[in-house]
Amino acid sequence: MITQAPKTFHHASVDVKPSDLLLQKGSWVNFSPAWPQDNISGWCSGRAFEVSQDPIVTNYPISRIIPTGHYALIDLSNQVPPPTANYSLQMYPAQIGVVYQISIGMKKGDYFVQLYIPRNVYVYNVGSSAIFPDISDSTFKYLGAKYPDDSPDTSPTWNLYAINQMVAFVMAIYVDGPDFDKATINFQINKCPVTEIPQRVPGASGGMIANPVYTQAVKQGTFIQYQTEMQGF
Amino acid sequence: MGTAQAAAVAVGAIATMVTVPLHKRLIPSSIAIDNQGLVPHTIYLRDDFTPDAYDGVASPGAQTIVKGQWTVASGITALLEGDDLKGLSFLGALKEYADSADASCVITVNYEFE
Repeated sequence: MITQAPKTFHHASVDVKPSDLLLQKGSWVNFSPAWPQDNISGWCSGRAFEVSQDPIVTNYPISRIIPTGHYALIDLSNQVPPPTANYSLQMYPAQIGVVYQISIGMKKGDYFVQLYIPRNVYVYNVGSSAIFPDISDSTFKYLGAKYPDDSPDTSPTWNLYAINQMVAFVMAIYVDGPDFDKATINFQINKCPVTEIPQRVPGASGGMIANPVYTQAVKQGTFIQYQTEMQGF
Repeated sequence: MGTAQAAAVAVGAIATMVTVPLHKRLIPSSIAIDNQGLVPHTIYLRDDFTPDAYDGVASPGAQTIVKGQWTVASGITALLEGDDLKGLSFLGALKEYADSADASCVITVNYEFE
């Protein structure tokens, strides 16, 4: 569900390929079997896919002016459409068979971000249940926080993956500076239609055999976890 | 880099020098206050913006924050740059006013958007 390259990736060598940065045509993604077999993720749970088109990347900048010591919540899902006040940002695919890779590029500023999925469930905690991120706590609001340096606007390293009708990614943008600040985050939405890679294919003798491409895709493709797999350890 | 220039106006006639684009902030690289008037003037630079909704406040009120004030004697040109302006930025609109209007006192701001 989320990948992030290390900070040193800002200084990537010439060995870096485009597919290391964004899903490209032919890239593989595979979904954990932990995704529920329901009408939202049944089509992708436990399956492997190949991106079937060249990337179409849509820039989607947002800015929030917030006083220091306060935070604004933004919801990336499609749950509440505009023009409703505080609408969700509609960053998810509108149909199945499509994966959106959402890169998060943060402009410089005195702020940090906490990520939840779903709302009120923090992603970046530690194993102990005695300590967890808490945006309203003076100490633990910093636990697991992402700063502009972690994924700068000029070379984002933090990616989220979304499918149609998935639960909402929610971000709390917290300003932690001397005064008001304007937090600007440029989301780059890499819209990827995907085609399933069958686990078995017809063999030379007419029977079905294991598909070597599937095996390779599972080993080497981008693995998209379900939200519950990022907790509890 | 952009340049904005305006004569000193009274607080009741506050002048907008630059409106900052939605996803940028304005960083002044130099500010010159050329006071060729007959009396000293105090110049104020103000940042006007409306915050977005935040925890517990659904519709925050507009903010008018004075980000700098300088008093310049008659016949003097004050130049601020480098460390003088460190940390100074404008989020919404850069506005100026003075203790009294004077067409002979001119404020010039060189700036960049970030």
